[in-house]
Amino acid sequence: MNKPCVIVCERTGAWATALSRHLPPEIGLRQTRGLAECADELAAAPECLLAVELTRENLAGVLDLLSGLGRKFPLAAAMVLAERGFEPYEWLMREAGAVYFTTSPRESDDLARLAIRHVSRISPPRTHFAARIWDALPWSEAARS
Amino acid sequence: MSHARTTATDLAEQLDDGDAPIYVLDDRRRIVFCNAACARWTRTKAADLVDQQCAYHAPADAASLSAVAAGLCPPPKVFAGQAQTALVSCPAPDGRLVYRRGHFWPLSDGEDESSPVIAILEQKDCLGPASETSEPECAPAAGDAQLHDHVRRFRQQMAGRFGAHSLIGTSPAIVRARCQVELASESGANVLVLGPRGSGKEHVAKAVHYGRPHAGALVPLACTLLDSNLLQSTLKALRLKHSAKPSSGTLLLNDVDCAPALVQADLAERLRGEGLGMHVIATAVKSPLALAGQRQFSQELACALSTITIELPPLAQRLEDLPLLAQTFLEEANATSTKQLGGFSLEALDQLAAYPWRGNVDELAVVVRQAHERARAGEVASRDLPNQIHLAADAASYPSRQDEAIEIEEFLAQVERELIARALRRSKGNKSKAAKLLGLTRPRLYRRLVQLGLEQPDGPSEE
Repeated sequence: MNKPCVIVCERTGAWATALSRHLPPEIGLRQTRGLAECADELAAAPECLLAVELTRENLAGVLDLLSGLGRKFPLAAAMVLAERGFEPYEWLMREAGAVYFTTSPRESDDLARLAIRHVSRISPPRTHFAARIWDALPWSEAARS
Repeated sequence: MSHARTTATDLAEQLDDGDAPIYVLDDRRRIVFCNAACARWTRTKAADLVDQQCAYHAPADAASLSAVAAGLCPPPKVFAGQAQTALVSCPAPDGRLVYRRGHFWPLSDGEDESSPVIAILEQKDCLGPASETSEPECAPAAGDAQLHDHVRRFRQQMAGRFGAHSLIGTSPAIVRARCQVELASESGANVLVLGPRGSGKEHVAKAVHYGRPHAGALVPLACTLLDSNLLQSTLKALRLKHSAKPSSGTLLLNDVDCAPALVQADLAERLRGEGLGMHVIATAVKSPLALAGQRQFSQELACALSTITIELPPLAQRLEDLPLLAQTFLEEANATSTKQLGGFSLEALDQLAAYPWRGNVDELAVVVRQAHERARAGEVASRDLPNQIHLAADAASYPSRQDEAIEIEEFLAQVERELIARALRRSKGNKSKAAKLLGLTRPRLYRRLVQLGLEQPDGPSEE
């Protein structure tokens, strides 16, 4: 299972470029160009944040994906990206399960904040607290080998 | 007067003889006339349709009279005085929607008040507006009509998926929850759904919403994901959208116990007085009332949200429901796969029952789907279950380990020793630099080095 990341499913890569400017390097970003490929990526990273571009062609597919996400991938979350003109679809997409809807790449810093919150709430593997304290000590490169 | 009535009756008879469905709406959008062809097409009695109000919305139930009337509703521009051609629909006996092109004429300019409307439908059915593989066959107002159709189909699909019936189980806790969902659906009160992660809180919230007679839009907000700014901007947009249409829809506040304090205050203020113009359903892991008692949540908001409280138990506390739930998820997987499995072997069910299910029902759904993918025979066997189930079963066969203990003095001394050693290595043995890194004075670092046995009391000094 891959680490939590952001999967951007869009036609051109423009949204991914805008988003990558605001994402910290520790959050991975993957790109797909279609919903089928996106479903494969989701299966490999079921705790990811999915950003899917809504188009006239994939409307029904996006609705199906969103409404089935909670059952198939309960730890994943999805946001919808769309061109201007799709604003009337915002509330339908939210009803289907999108946690956020935007029509402007200028809001990509909002999307990045959301991604950071999503990744940080996915709890790390449980270790003994003494080991966690030890792992959190500074200057790890100077630790004894 | 008698002559006028005769003329109206004659006109009605003439319209009844025609093959084109015709109906008339008054200025309050009520059907005041419906001819025989329209009654035939909608499979209702004309007398039943008369007086039904047409609202341009997407009802969750497909077959009721109000849903039939909603299907006949012309685009809102017609009531504002613009003639339009658009698709209307009515449910077929198999539940699908059938479509016809309708021509709508307003009977006034609609400037001061909503115009009465006369509608004439074509005599043959046509393709719906949301046919994905082809452009709509007849949809001049394709944008609005397509969205309207998507909303309607989506809501009907959701209403089918999320009813009180979809809360699977026979355990006392789930039977009680089902009754509470029905009660909450009948009332318009705010509802709080409490339960651990993965226990199906959002499912229950949707069951309440879609079970309501005139369920409008559902607007979920993820309080764990959206920060204060995003939540407040969404609420503001929502208020603008609903300011013209009070009491429509439901605001679903997911994980409200995680909402930032600013958002809590904002919500409390909006729920005060006339409220948001929407029903509110909230889900939470921790009780907002209990948190408010510890001053960790707004008391006012906690009270406003908790009118009806539905509590969901962890799956581990209702294991009698597990076989039924697992079978339901298996059949869901069958429905979308060519592989068809009948059920679970007894050994597989035993292993499922022995698992702790920290992720509750959501985790069970994922496990069953993975088992469905692995299974080869006609049922899910023990070997088809994912590894975590086998590992939990193996672990259960060993005696439980005592909690690991530490000696705090020794542990803290180890941490201190390690930090000092790292600082010295980082500063290449320069004690002044190491002391600076550690926030100590040089003499104090030296004393600690001696106390921790890292340096002899009379050791040589560097620099």
